[in-house]
Amino acid sequence: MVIEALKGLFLGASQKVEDRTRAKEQSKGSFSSNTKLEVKDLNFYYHEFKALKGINLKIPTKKITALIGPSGCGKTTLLRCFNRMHDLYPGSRYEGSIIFHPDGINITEKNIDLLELRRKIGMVFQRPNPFPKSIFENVAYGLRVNGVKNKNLIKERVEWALQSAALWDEVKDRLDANAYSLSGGQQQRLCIARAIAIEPDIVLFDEPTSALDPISTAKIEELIINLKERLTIIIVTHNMQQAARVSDYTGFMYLGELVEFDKTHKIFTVPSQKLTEDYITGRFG
Amino acid sequence: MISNKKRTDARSDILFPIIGFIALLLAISFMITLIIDILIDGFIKLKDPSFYTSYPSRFPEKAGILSGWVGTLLVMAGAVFWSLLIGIPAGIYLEEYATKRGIIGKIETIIELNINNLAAVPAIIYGLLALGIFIYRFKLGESILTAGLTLSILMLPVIVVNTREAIRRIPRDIREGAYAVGATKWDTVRDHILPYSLGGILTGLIIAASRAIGETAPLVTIGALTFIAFLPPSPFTSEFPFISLDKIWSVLMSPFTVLPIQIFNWVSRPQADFQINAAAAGFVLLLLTVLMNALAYYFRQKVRRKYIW
Amino acid sequence: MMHFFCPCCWKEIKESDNFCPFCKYELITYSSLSYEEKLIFALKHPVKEIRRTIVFLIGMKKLTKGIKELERMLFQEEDPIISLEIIKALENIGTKEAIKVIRKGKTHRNRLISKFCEQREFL
Repeated sequence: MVIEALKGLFLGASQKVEDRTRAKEQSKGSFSSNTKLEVKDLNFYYHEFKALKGINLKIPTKKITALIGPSGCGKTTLLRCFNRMHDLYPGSRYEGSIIFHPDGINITEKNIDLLELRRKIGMVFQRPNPFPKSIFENVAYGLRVNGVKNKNLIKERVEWALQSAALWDEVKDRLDANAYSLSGGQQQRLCIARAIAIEPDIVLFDEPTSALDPISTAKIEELIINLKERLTIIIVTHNMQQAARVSDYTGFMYLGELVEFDKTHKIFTVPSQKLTEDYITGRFG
Repeated sequence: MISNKKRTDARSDILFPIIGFIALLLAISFMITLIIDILIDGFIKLKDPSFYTSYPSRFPEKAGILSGWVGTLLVMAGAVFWSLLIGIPAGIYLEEYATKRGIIGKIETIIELNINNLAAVPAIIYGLLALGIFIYRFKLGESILTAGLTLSILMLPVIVVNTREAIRRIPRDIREGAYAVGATKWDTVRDHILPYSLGGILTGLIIAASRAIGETAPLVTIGALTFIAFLPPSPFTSEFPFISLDKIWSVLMSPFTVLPIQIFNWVSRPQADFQINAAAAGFVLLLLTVLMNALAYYFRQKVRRKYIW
Repeated sequence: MMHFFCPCCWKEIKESDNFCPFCKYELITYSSLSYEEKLIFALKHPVKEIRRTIVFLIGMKKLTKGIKELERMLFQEEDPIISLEIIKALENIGTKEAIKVIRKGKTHRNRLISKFCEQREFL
């Protein structure tokens, strides 16, 4: 059993490497015109602490961008700037801009509509955090708070989202069961379904597999790769292999700064910065 | 090496549980003695149905607790209503909305620091407060409404504290999950914070209510009657919609008595037969309190099973 | 919060150290190494996750210089997950030398790994 599972894991991984290289060949071409998010001179303060220092970055459309770096480097902080999650807590301040293309809105602007922003930029968290409600209600919640009232439409979208999250077959017979009856990996896929049910443009993943076993992790990674057909994905991970396996672009962050940002293959095979080299080779962490 | 001789200091390992167990027995035996004592004393009255359907009387054998238990139920209903109406929003505000900045922030901090102290204020002080505000200032009279409001002030701090604790137990992740799909603060409070903390809130309510149900002092202060031989008028009418606002108002404005006051009244009588009545009424009051606590326990267990973070 | 390691003996050291206080390794030498050499150093990293990642990256980079070290590791590594990762990396490198190591792997004491090597050969 275990041997079979492990084999599956490895065969799956080799497939993914091929997929990734193929995808990379297709993506050669215009990089700047396909920018989804454009971060310009972003500084972020938490009370007096300057957590992000002069970040400049272009997140490409319908690609997977990974952010790596040692703990406390600001990768999660940067991720939470994109949907302004910091605003839930007092003491956060943004400087600089994050332009959301193609609308051209500046995300760091004080007066933007945060609800609309979070509808367009979804998020999946480190620990699976389903609501203690039924599986159906978990996925339907985003639709409901965004004013969808039509019951058939909600049903349709819930099914679609659960199918996209590769969870439908496992839960279709027990949509009324409490989400907490699912396993950790299933709960995380439910959270992904919840995030994509409202069809966001971007989904942010904050270390989505750090609380999961290897087999659930492989499933989530596969899912993330499939999602990039429709969405732009930004993933924070402490697992470099995960970044190398799934992402198209990778940014390495250290002490609140973006040290290096490039195509994933380049970052991991010929990094241009000594600091990146030392981090990848485990000199510090 | 393991020796077969016991270490001398291991004796305290045996000694303390014994002392503790004796202390426990002592505490429980007080309770049991009390319950059995009033049960035996009041048994003749307790098994007599007319005890529950008769008004107080000069003759101990005719006297009953009808006006007492009806009064207690009505006053408690009012107290629960008002304390929930004020306590839950106050708790939610302090936990979810208070920013603790600026002048409002200062007020928030002062209130926050004093909420726990309020729970320790002697009940009779609340009675004096109610006398000054509800009776002299707002002219609500020595009525069921005033009594409900008075007891609700008494219950408020406990409810606010319990509401806050229940809310604080909800993990940050859950809130963030709601905000991340575009929910407003109100959506989050209505769909998540309130339902998930309801068990804790209800537990707090029942703990507060079982304390308030036995309160005598504040109600005496606001002028509860000790002898009352009629019930408030029925608010129901024979015509649609079967209930009239005017009549509800007259219920609220009726004079009243409650079980503890009735007991106090009987205990202070010289006739020995009234002591039987007092014991019986005491048992009824005790039963109500135990029932409420059982209810609190039930809610706590139910919620614990449903929301395991 | 941040931890620094000596790249030679992989004991935890201070960021400011010039020499490793345990094995006396001169850290300046390390900073002059190429990325390839650093990767091969890191194959001895004590943290499993990192070791596995390094093996994966050597495969991704098709680093022929690493084959020898991977061969040595294949028979010493205790974690079968990493051993499997090594075979995958060798397959990715794909040179004759690498294939030879995979063939050798058929005699691995762990049945899971030897079987995995056997399956590779048919590809």
